[in-house]
Amino acid sequence: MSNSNHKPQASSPAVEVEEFLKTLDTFAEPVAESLPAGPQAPERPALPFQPDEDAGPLNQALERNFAKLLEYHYTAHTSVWESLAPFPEGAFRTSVKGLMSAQLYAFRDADRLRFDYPVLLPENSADHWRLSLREVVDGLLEALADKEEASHLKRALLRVERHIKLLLPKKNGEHLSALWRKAAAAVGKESGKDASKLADELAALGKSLGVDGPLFGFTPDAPTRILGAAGQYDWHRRVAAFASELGDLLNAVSGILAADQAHSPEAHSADTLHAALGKEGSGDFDLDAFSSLLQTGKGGDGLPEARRRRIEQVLKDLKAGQKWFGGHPVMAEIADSCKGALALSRERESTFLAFFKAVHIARLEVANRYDAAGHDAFYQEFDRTALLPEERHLIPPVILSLSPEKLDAAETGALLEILNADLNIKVLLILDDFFGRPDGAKTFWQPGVAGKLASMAMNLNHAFVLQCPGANLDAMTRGFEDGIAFDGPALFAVFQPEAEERTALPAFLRSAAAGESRLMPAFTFHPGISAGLANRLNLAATPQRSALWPESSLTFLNGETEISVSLPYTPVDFLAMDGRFDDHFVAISGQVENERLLPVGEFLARSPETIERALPYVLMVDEDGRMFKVITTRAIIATARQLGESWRHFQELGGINNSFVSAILEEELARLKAEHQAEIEALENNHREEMERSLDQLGKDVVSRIAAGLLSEGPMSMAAMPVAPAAPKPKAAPEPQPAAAPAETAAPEPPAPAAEEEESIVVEDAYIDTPLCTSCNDCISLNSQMFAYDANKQAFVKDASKGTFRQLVEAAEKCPVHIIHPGKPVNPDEPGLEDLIKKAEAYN
Amino acid sequence: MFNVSLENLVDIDLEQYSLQDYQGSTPRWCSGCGDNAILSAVQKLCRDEQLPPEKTVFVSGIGCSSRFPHYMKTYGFHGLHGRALPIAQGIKMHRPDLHVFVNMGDGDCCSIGTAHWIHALRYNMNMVAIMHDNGIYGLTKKQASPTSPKGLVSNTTPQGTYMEALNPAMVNLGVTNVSFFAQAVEWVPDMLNDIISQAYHHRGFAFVRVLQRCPHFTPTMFDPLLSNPNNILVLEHENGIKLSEAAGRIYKNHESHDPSDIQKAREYAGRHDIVPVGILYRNPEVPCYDEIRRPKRVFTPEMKEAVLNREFDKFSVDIDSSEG
Repeated sequence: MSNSNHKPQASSPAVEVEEFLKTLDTFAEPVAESLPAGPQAPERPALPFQPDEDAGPLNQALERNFAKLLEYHYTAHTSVWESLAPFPEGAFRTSVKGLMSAQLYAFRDADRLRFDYPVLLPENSADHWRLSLREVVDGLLEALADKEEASHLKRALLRVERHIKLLLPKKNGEHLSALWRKAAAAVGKESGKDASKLADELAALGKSLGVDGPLFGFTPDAPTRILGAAGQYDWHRRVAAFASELGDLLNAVSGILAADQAHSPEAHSADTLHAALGKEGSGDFDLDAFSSLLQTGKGGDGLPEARRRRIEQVLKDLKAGQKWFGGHPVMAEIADSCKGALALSRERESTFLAFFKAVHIARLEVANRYDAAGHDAFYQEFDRTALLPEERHLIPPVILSLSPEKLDAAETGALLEILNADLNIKVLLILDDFFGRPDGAKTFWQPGVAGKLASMAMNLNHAFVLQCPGANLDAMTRGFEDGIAFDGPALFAVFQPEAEERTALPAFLRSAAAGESRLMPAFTFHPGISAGLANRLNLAATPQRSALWPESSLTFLNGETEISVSLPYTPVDFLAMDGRFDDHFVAISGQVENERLLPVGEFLARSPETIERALPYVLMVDEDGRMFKVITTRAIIATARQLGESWRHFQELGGINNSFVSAILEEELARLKAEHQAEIEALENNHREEMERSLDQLGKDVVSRIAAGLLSEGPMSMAAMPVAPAAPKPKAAPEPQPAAAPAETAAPEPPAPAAEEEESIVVEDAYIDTPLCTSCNDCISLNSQMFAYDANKQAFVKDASKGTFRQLVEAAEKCPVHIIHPGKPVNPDEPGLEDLIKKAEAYN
Repeated sequence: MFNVSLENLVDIDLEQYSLQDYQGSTPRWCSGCGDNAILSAVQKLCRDEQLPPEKTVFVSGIGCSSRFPHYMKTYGFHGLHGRALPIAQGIKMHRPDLHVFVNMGDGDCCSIGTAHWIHALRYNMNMVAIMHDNGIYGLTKKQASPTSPKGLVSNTTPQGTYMEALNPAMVNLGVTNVSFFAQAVEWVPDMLNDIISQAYHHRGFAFVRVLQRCPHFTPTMFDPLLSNPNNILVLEHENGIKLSEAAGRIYKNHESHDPSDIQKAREYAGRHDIVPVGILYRNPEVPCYDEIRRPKRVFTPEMKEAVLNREFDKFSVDIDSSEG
C-alpha cells in the first residue's frame, strides 16, 4: 500500500509557502475582472473597437493576397480562399454571418429598444385610432414626472412595457387591459418584497389609461390590422352626419305611408274603429254609422298604387342600407385576392347604388316633388355617375390585403385593372423580401418585381400610392389616412418582414434598414393634387432625402482613442446582413490599412477607371464589438448601383437634383457668367481709359508746376503739388447740444441706501426659509399637516390653515435656526391672538 | 436613423434612487438634534451621487450619533465604542468596491477611539469619517467629553471641567499623512452639503468634524456662533467651498484659503477667537494604504477552502495503514 497519503512531504517551509501561493494562483482571478461594475458606471452600449495591436503583419498579409481578393471581387469564386497566404489568427473571416453593420451596432440589444411597436388600436376612442405602447407608457410617465414618491412606479412602468412586449409573440392581438394585468403581476413578482402592492399600483395605473383595444407587435399582419382600424375610424367620422339625416328620412317616408294608411277604407271600417276605441268606449258609439259617414267623405282616395309601391320599395332599401351606418364593422371584411376584391367591390357598389337611389327618391317624396313622368325614367337608369361626390364618399372602400406570392399573371393583371379603374379599392401589399431568382436556379438574387409595384402604380397616375417600411409607423399611418380619404383606388406597399433565420437583425430593424439603404424609399403619390408632380410625389418620409445615401456618425475605439467617422448606409450594408449573400462578403480585421481598400460610399462615387484595382468594403462588427472591413463582390456593387439609380430616379421625380433643372441651371449660370464677365470687362476698360486720362493730365500739371516754379525761382514745396484733389472734408458732426437737463438730473443722485438698511417687509403668510432648514424635525413633530418636508427633506409650510397660529408661533420659537416666519393669523377668532402676534413679530 | 434613436435606448434595470431609497427607520434622536441635519445631508449626497444602497456601508461606534447606520437604508455596522474606524478599514480593505462612511461622536472618536483615529489618519484609506461633535456624552445622559469646553458642568464634572477642550482640528492636521480635514456646522445646510460632497470625492481618508447642537444637554453651547455669525470664519477657495450669495450675506466673515497650504490650515485650526468652517486641508497625493496593500487577486470562500483542504491533506493520517 502506498504511504504517500499519510506522510508529510519532504520539503522546506519556504517551498511549501511558494507552492501554496502557486496553488492559489490557479484559482485566482484578477481583481478588476471579478469586481462588480462600479456604481457610477451603468451599462451602456459599448462602442465598437479596433484592438490596439500591431497591424504590420495584417497589412503584409493583405498585400500578399490582394490579387486573390481582387479575383474574388470580380468573380465571387470562393475557391480562391484555398490558395490564400495565411492572415494573422482571427483577422480573416470567409463568412460574415453573425456580424452586424457598424451603424446598427448601437441598436443591437433589441430588448432595450423602445420603438413604435407594439401598436394599440383603441376601441371607441374619439381621439385616437392608433397609439404605440410607448406613447401610452410615456403618457403615464409624464403624469408621474413630478411625483418623487412615485419614482419606483416610473421604473416599474418600463418593466411593464418590456413584459408586455415579451408576452406579445404568443398573445398578439390580445387587449391591452388583459396584457397589462399579466405584466403588472409579473413585475410585482419580480420586485420581491411588496410584490402585491406594486402589482396593484401598476394595475390601477393600467385602469386609469382610459383606452383599450387589441395590441399588435411588429408582425406581418400588423399593417392589415392598422389599415382596417384606419378605415373604420375614417368611416365613422364620415358617416356621422349622414346617419342622422338617414334616420330623419326614414321617419318621414314611414310617415307618408302611415298617413296613407290612416286615410284608407280599412282604417275607416267599423272593426278598425272598434279596435281603436277598445272595449270600454265602443259601446257608447254607433261605429257602423260613423264608419259609413267616413267612407262617404271626401279625400279618402289614398295614395296612388304606383306611388305607394315606390315608397314601400324605398323604405325597404333604406332599411337595408341603414345597417351600414349604425356602427357596422365595414372594414372587417378584407379581401385576399384581386379578383375577390373586384367582385366584392361590384357587389358593394350595386348595394349602395340601390341604397342611394332610394335616398334620392325618398328626398323627392318627402318634399312631394317626385314627378313620375320625368323621374321614373331617370331612376330606371340610375348608376354611379348619378351619385353626388359626397355620396360616393359614403361608400365604404373594399380593403384588399395581398402577399407577393399570390401575384401570378392573372392576379397582377387584375391588380393593374383595380389601380387603373374608378373603383374604391384599397390594396395593401405586404412585402417581406425584395429579392428573387428569376429562373429558380443559380443566378444571382436580384430585386424582384413586387418591390417595384408601387413605382409602377405611380406611373398610372390614377391611384394613391404609398410605399414605406412598416417600421416607419408615422409615415405608414399618415399614408393610410390619406389613401383611405382618396376617392379612388390606392396601393399601399409596406415592407414588413418576418423574423427569420437568414439575418441576425430583428424584423423591425430590418424593415427600417431597408428604408435607410434606399431599397425601399418611403414616398406617397397623390394623383388628386393637381399642382404638379413635385407636390404629388412626397419623399419627406425618406431619411436624408436630398442625399444619395443617408449618412450617420459612427464612434469607435481605436485602442484607447475615440474616433468618429461619418458613414453612408448603402444597399451593400443591408445585403451584408442577409445570409443568402454570404458568399459575396469576406471580412478582414478593421485595423487593416491599404490605399486600395475603399469605403463603399467612395467606391460607388468614383469613376470606373479609378477603381479597377480597388476593393470596396463596409464596416461591420462582431459579437464582441470588434470591427471588420468587409469586402464585397462586383455583383453586389452592381445591385447597389442599380438601386442607387432607382433612388436617383425617384429623387428627380420628387424635384431633388432633377437633371432637367440642373441642365437649365447650368445653361443659365453660364449665360449669367458670360454677362457678368462682359460687364467686368467693360468696367475694366472704362477704368483703364479713365486712369490713362488722369495720368496724362497729372503729367501735364506736374510739368507746368515745375516750369512755374523754375520761372519764379521760389522753393518748390511738395505741398504745392496738386497730386490729387483733396477729399472733401467731412462735415464736422454737430456738437451734441446739451439737452435741457431737468433740474433733478443736475442735482446729485441721492446716495443709495446702505446695504445694511433693508426695507422692512410685512409678512402676511407664514413661510419657512426652506434652504436653511436643518431637517431637525421640530416643526414636523409639532404639526405634520401644517409643516412638511420637500424632496430634499427640508421643511416648508404645507398648509397654514391645518393648525393654529399658536402652533406657528411655537414652531418659530422652537426652530433652532430661526427660519420659521409665522406671518399673520388666518383665524381672527383664535384666542390669545394679541399676545401671539406680539411674539410672532420677532420672527416675521 | 432606422426609425429609432439612441434616446430611445433605455436601461430599464438602471435604478434611479430617490431620497426615500436611502431612508431607513425613523430617527429616534431628540427633536431639534443636529444629527438630523447631518443625516439629511448624507442622504442627499447618496441620492445626488446615485450610490447603490447595496454598495454603500455606514459604520459607527457607540453614542447618539452612532445610531446613524439604523437610519440609512444601506448596509451598516453599529460597532463597539471607539472601534468604528478599524471596522471600516477592514471593510474597505476587503471590499474596495464599497463606499465606506464612518460616523462617530466626539466621545467615541476623541476619547476611547483616539488611537484608531490617529492611525486611520496615517493609513489614509479611502473613506469618509464624520465626527458629530456636540461636546458631550448625550446617550449616557450628560458626561463631559474631550471636546467639552472648559468649565462645562456635567454629571462627571459637577464643578465644571478643569481643562481646555481637545482641538480635533489641530490633532488631525498634526498627524503624518493627513490628507483631508474639513470643519462644518450642521445648521448651515448648503455649506454642510458642499463639504460632505467634497469629502466623498476626496481620494483618501476624509475627516469632517461637524459642530452639532445637543438640544437636551448642551442647548446653549453654540449660541455664540448662532447669534453672531461673525464668530464663524468661512474659508473659501476655488478648490474648497464656495459661499452662496445668500449665505455670504449672513456669513460676512470669510477669507480665501488654499486647502493645499497645511501651514495656513494649522494657523486657522489653532485660532481661539473664531471657528474656521470649510476645507482646511486637502492633499489627494498622499498614498493610501488600501491602494498600496490592495490584494492583487480575490478569493472566494470556496477557493480558500479548496486550497486549505489540499494543504491539510498533506498532513492527513491514514489510520488503517498506521495500524497495520
